[in-house]
Amino acid sequence: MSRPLIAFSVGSIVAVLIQTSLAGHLGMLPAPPDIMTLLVVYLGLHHHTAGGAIGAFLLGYLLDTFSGSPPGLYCFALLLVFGSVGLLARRMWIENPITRLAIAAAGLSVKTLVVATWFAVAASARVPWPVLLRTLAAEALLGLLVAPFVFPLLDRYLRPATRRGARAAQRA
Amino acid sequence: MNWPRLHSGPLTTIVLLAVSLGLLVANTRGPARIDPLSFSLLEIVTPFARATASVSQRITAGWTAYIDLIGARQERDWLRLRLRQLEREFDRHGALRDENQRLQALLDLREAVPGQAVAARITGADASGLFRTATLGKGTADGIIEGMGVISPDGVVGRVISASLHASRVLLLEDPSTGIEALVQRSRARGIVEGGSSAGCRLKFVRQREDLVIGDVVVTSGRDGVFPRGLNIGTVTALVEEERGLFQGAEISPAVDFARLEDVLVVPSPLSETGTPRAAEPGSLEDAAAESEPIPEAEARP
Repeated sequence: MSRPLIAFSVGSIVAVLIQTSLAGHLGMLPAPPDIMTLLVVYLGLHHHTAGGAIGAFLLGYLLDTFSGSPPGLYCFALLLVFGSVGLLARRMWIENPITRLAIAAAGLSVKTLVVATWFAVAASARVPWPVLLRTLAAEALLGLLVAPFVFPLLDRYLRPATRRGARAAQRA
Repeated sequence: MNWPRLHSGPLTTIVLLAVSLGLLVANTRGPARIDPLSFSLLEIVTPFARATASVSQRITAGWTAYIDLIGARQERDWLRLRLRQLEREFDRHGALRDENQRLQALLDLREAVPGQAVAARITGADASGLFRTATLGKGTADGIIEGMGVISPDGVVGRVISASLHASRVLLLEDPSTGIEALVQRSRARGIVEGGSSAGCRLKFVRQREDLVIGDVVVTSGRDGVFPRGLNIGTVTALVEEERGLFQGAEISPAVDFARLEDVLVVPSPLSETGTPRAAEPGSLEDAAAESEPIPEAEARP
């Protein structure tokens, strides 16, 4: 098993634990920060490959498993995030932290939009829109707040060594 | 050659998107839940989740205990403050209740007393301490004139000795210079009540042959032109032999507790302007005394 794969697996489990256990038990946050989507954004930025797509799918499925959504909802949403971030990453200089933050915001928005659309189109029960929108907005905002801390961590463990080397050389 | 490798990412994404959409549509429309991977994912993550939950629960419990402690301290301070406020309020209500009872008793007495009685509050005691007088907060402007009797729901208080426009002085029953014509309620024996004894007052000039025992209630006779008949003066506490042997006397404990007296009723003289005794009004103390002797204490002390 390669180091990035191990790091990705550990990161996924930690992310799901933070979203399901820690944030809920602390009880101070209106919603857990959307770290899973940040992971997918990161995959879309730096690993826009078949492996990255599978990773995004698995992250979505993990989220589906640990949430009350129908299986497939978060898979679809996170794969759309992955795809759209991948398209953006080809056209932008993604080494700038501000750009990465902007792309993270776009990714979080895509996910929020997909989930809200599904609720609007397919949810059979009456949807409490104010609560839903507040929760989605809180998830996205908190995700954006933790993004500056998450991305450097992922850089450290998931970034291919060649690119890190290139970046170091660029700095030098 | 490199095309599949170059486009593997987008292709996989498209394929997986199609799979996800199919999964979502199937799970949204169909009644059965199609969920092939969740069992494995749950099994993988659950041990970590259990450990994390245990740790986070402990952290949460510690944090909650700390918050509760702060909350308990604030609540304790608040409750102490509230207790002090309520104690003050309780005291105030107690004072108001007492005053209400006192004034109610005074009102009942006012209705029972003939003529236009004036309710007044005692505003001061004797300045010297040598005499037993008190100052009332009402005077001639309120209809009080010198010589009027002063009573309370408990009984006789004294007599007005001077009056200004808005204040008047009362000579209390305890003062040695007080003299009130009295009756022993049980035996109808007559005498004069004077102040200045160790018990408070003394009943004097009761004929030797009259029946007088300890515990007898002494009331006003109504013949002195100051007090209506039948008002409680006090209770005989001891019998005293007069010097000359013609009369007997008694120590009397006044019915009124002068130390606690606050509100009184100043009653007009029962004598009319012509000096003849006025007819007793129906339902008044005089009427009650005239109809049934001895006067029931309950009527004399409403």
